Amino acid sequence: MSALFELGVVETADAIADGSLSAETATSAALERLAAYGPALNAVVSLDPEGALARARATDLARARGEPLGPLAGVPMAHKDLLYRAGRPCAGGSLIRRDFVPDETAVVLERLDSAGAIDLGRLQLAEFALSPTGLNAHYGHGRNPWNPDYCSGGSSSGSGAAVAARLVPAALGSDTGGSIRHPAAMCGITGVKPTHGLVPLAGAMPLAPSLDSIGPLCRSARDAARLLSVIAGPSPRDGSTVLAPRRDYEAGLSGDLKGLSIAVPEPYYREAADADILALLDDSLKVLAERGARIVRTAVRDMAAINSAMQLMMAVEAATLHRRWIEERPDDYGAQVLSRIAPGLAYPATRYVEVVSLRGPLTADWLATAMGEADMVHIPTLPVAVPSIAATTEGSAEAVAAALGRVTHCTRAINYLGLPSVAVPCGFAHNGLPASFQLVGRPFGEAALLRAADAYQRVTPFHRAPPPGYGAP
Amino acid sequence: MTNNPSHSRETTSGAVLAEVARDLNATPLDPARLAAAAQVAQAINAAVRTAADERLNMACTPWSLQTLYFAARSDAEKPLDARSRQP
Repeated sequence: MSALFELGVVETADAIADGSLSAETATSAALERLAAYGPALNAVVSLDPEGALARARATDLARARGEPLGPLAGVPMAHKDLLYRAGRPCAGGSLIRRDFVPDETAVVLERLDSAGAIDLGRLQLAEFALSPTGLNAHYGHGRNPWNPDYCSGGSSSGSGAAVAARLVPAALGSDTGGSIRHPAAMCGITGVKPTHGLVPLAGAMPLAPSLDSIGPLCRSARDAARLLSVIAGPSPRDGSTVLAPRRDYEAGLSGDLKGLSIAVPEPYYREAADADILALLDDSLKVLAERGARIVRTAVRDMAAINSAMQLMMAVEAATLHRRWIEERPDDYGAQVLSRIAPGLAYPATRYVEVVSLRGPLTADWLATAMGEADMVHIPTLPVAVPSIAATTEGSAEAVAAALGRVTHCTRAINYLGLPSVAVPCGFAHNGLPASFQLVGRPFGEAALLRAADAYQRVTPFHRAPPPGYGAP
Repeated sequence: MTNNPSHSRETTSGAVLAEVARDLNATPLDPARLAAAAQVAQAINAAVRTAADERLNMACTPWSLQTLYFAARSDAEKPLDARSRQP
């Protein structure tokens, strides 16, 4: 067997199910690694060792009695600290909610509990989930396990770093403009931003509810498929999921891409990519083609309108949620967070309604042009090499804004379009940090995306590569 | 194109403007940041207004992504190979 911390979700669950590993051993090992490495990565808010170990022992006892086990039985995880668990503090990366204790539990945590997962505790995030790089003015910047001077990606910074550093095999994050995909890309792991309305949001701190999605960060697409199968599907606590299908995403992972076509849209996404990233993207397309996918070229338009609409929708919805705190506790916000929310107070209501009204037609147009007749779109997750923390926090306001704009260039619009996306590691840029491509699908097209990502990962090593110092000696 | 471009323009009353001003004045940004935020908001405002003028009309505006989801839902239920579009 591999070193315990190298095991992914499926391997851990399988080993516990067949008795070759106990849930208590797996949980203890994860708790030890979180305590040992979590602080340097600024990945952990708090852990619950007693509760987690008690649950793990109960899992082992249930197995010994021959009781049926869930698909995630005994698998240790920790999650972005914006998912509520009744009675446990949930700060959302903020000072303002540092002592907030919810009286409800997020639907996604309830579903993971039912599947047998062990919740170890809370992982750090950007303040109010509002930084693509992992900036948190109050609790420190997220650190990248590949190089701590570089951005971990945000806003699910702790989730990305913890999974990449093999502290836990999986974590949930949330994505309003790329907050699952940025840390997945920057830390070299796999992240799924589901279709808006596939995974219930109830019990999660909102940023902009029309754009928010909750999804898994794992090392492999197969692991992500198992988690998505558990957390997706309709819930009476979130009416936006009324049309969400329930399915076994793992069952569709055949390794074969015959019959699947992948569109590569020009020029918006690829023209922004650095040469070394572009070369890695093209290499990944070759692999996907070798696995049987047909690659087609398409064109994309209206990105300025889509990006503007997304920015307006996010600012208005966030400003609506934050207005009272902005007035009453302005000094408790970081400057970058405040400057992103504040413009939301300036838009007329009619403009917001226009943005809501444009969403259907702009999404239909994007699908028709960027995707055409294909099953999915292949674009960069991050069009440039992972930036250093200094490059996104120091210098003129214009330089910082430009650096942040490059990070979100390929991600933010996807949330306005409501579409699913999977970020997949595809090599290393000139600075030695991970590179990643996104596969963007049709509404509820996660099965096809995961099938393609899994087929790619069966013949490439990038998702299995541990950051220096975090792998087996 | 809209038949009547004026229908997508917002109407403002003194009370509404006062409310907007009150909210903005309560925003604790320094003048430079407030000016930068206003500049961003102005550009986005214009881009969305143009898109709305070009695309929205009262006759046939799908109001949500659910319009697309209805079609996608049945598609997502099918086996993947049945949905492939090989030439």
